[in-house]
Amino acid sequence: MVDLWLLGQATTSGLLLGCIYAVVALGLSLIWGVMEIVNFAHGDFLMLSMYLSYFLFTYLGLDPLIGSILGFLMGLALGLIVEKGLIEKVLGSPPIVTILVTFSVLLIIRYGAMAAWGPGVKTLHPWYFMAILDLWGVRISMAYLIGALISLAATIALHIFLKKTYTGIALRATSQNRLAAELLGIDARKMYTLSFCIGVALVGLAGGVLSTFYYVIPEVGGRFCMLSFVIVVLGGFGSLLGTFLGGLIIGVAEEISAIFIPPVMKDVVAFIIFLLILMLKPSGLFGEVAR
Amino acid sequence: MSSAGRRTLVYAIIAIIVIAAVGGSAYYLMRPRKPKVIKVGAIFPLTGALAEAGKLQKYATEWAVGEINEAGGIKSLGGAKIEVVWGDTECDPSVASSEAVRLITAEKVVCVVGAYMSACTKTVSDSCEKYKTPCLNPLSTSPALTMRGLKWFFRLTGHDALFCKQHWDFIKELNEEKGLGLKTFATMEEDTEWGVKSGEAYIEYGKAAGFEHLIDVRYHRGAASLDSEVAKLKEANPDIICLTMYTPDAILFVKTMYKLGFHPKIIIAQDVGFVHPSYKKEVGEMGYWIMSREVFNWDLATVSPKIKAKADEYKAKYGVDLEGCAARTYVAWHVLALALEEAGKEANPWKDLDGFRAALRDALENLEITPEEWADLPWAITTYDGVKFGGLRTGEAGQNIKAWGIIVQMFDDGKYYTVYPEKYATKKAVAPIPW
Amino acid sequence: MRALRMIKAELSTKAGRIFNAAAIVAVILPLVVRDQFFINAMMLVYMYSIIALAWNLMNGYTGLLSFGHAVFFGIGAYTLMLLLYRGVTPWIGMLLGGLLSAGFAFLLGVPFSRLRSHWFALGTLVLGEIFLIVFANWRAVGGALGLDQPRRLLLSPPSIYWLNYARPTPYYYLALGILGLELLLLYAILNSRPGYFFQAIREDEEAAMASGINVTLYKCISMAISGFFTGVAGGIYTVRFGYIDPYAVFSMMRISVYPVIAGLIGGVYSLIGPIIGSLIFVPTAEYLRAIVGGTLGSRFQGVHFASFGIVLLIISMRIPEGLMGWLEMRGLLKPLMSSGGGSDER
Repeated sequence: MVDLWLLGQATTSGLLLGCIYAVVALGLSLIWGVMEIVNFAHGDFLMLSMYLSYFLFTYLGLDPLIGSILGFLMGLALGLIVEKGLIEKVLGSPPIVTILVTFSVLLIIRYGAMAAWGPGVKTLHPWYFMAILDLWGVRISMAYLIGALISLAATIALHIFLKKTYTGIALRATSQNRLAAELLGIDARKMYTLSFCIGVALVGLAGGVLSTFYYVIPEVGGRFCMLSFVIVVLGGFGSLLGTFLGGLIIGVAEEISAIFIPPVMKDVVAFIIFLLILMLKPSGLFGEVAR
Repeated sequence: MSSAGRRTLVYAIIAIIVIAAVGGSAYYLMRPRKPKVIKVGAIFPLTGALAEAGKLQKYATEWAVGEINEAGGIKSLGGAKIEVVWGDTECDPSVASSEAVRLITAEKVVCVVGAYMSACTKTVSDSCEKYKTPCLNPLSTSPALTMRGLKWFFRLTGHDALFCKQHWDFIKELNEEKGLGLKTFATMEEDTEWGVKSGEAYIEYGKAAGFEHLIDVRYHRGAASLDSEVAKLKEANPDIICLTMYTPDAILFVKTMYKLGFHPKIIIAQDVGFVHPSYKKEVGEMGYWIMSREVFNWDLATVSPKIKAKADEYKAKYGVDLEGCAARTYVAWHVLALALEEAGKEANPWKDLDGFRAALRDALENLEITPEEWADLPWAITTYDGVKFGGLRTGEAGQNIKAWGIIVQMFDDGKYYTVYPEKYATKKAVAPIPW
Repeated sequence: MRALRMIKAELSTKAGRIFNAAAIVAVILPLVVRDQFFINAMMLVYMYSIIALAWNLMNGYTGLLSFGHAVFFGIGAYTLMLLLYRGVTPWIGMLLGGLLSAGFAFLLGVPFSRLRSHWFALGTLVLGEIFLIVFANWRAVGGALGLDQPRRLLLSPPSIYWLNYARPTPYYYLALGILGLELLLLYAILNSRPGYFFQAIREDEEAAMASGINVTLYKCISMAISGFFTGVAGGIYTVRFGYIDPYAVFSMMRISVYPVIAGLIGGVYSLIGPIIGSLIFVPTAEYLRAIVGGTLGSRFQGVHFASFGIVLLIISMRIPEGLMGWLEMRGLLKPLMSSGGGSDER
């Protein structure tokens, strides 16, 4: 029978990791919800932010958490450039076009990074990665804890923004019904730009968090992008709470399944959950009914 | 524009394209030829996941070929120089195969050197076999490659099964010498051909050496987390853990091991990820006391003056330390040069390419370098006991049966030191790991 | 048959005459050009064209955007190889591989038919990944080690029965032949009832349903046909390269994404578009790799992928209707079997 410790360790790791997956997926959820486009380059913005953290830490000694904040700002700027320069121009086109535009951005960023910084692996070791909390044998890295807390904070902040501020409400209105929102005087284009910028900024934040315990290579975006898709669909598009819970579910599902089945298959578990949700409840666990 | 005018325009454009195409092809076919060189194909992962290694192989190739050419080229062919024609596998077997076909048929190379990733070497060697062109492989370690009875394939480096046997000989010796009382082991590898085969070899030779295999953990390369995998290992609590990983996963593994408090008594790895320069640079104190198979190590220079000389030369030229990929590739080109010399006595590549390729193949098959000769050759900087390829009727057709490796361990100064075999060791192995 | 008459009619248009000329060139090409690398590259062009055409049946004509065609490709590849082990000739292996893919695709259609554009695309993408991981860990079909062609085949003399040639030329004709067959079949299908139903579904699914079309059934049929040809392409790959592994045949980048790019470049609203797209894209990829991969320094390893990205970006932003669509809109050429394009206000 499976050791209780093993289960406990897996669950804890899964929950914390899930929080962090959630913050990675948050940005995608927002963009998808408001603009209805799937940003294939999502993972690569994450990668850029991780490199930023690495360089700040290695050359300036800046803590990656500060790197997160700078990553957030960098994300805002990048999001603005990409949205205004590219996405906006193809908003009315068939889905394949926007998909391909974001896919080409993926190629350019990923392989541009490889050309710029080489394909070698880089990591950083902040002090709090080494600090381990030991609870009845279950070991938790401070880096995970801090990451999870930041993730929670970001989700709550976003939630407050969307529910309580005028701009946030305008964003939600645009996502629910663009025509009606425009009739009410909301500039939909500005809303789209804003949501894209915030979305990329969020993933910039997530990059700093990830870099505290994960390695940095040009291809790092791929796996996290896939996971983000799964989480957003699982949670339901349009729902922040859904995305957060989706992250937790996927995190825990992956870690626990790795105990019972060959660990190679743990991604398959996440993907099968994804497919099941797609077929049975495409609007996700908490999503509004798909338009 | 009128409809007639538009039609004319379209036809004109088509005509221009056709003329350009024809003209371009004609120029290509009739361009002036360069002076006589011996073209040899080099297929390495210049792009893709393994590009870092590919870069080192490129350096080594340029270095070796530069040396050979400067020393007068292939004398039996009138001092003709070797010209390297590059191919990129992109870490994809079908791409590798296409590249091999291109090098053999379009570029008309006399032989192909490569590849790196075992799956790519498989298709490259298949193409070479079909086109009757010798294929010399300096680096791929999958045992399967030399179990196919191919006539035209030669592998210079040792393979994973050979290395695993060496590992276990070493561990058994260590266990007895130090009275460690080790009994159990676990294996962890990635789900690729290399990983699976290496894992199997570890299990087979580990059991043969009298140890009990507790658990095998396989993971998908590039996993977002290895927490549960390492937790499973910790749960099983083996004395020894045998790892087969590439660099990113190696780093993640080591961090996770530290984080979860997994403390086996011996950690041994199958080269690659654990000896990669990026790994060494980034892993810090979490990498201490981990052992790995290697085929070359910097401290060999302290044991052997000729290795020191070459290592310094390489570092001066390319700015990175000499390591296994580069060393083995460098040696392979020199071995090839020897074979070319022999083949050049029998045949002429410019008059009869097929005949020359066959002669080269025979030269490789008959090539033998004894351990004494190996010690004297200035370019023989790997830890092989010489060169001798297994014959077609043996189970190791085309395998250099003298290709041994070494075992290194990272000490608390962050550097790897050779600990086995004795003739190369600079330090005594530290075991169990002092957690 | 009506289709034959229509084909004759199409072939006498301007586009048709160009097509005739191109077809003749394609057939005699290996007799004139001796460069094996070039023949190999053209063979790959045809193989990718087969996939791209099949893919476009789903995308351009039925409105189902798939990012997971590698699944069908891989099923075809593995079927052929596994049958080869049991001594079955690759001709039958290819056919059965195609049929198995088709069957799988049909069944897949049942749950997938209710997914709309983005979800369908993501679902297929994820399916591709699942297949890769599962096959990489499934010992019975070789797992990560992949499957080598039976050794005696590698070493025995080439024959048509076993399709084990050394040079690419026979495979060139194999791929070309199958491409031709596929073109004819697709043309016939698209000009018949199912073809009209496919396009109706693409235009407006609800309206199609309201007119009494069994949307799910026809989506499944479209997927099955698409899966069939992609599976056959997988078979061609297997006989040509003699070694398959899950990372190669279930590859998202190489197998699933290539036809998407080719389709986009050539234009998804005509039958010929994906072929033109492959013609442009695949040789460019091969030659770019040969030049860039070999010469620039190791820092610039990914440069050719980055340049694909730039090219793709420009095309998707400037000419999303692809080359054929652009030519058609300019009135220069009406491509064969153009479906008139979709107005995608969804």
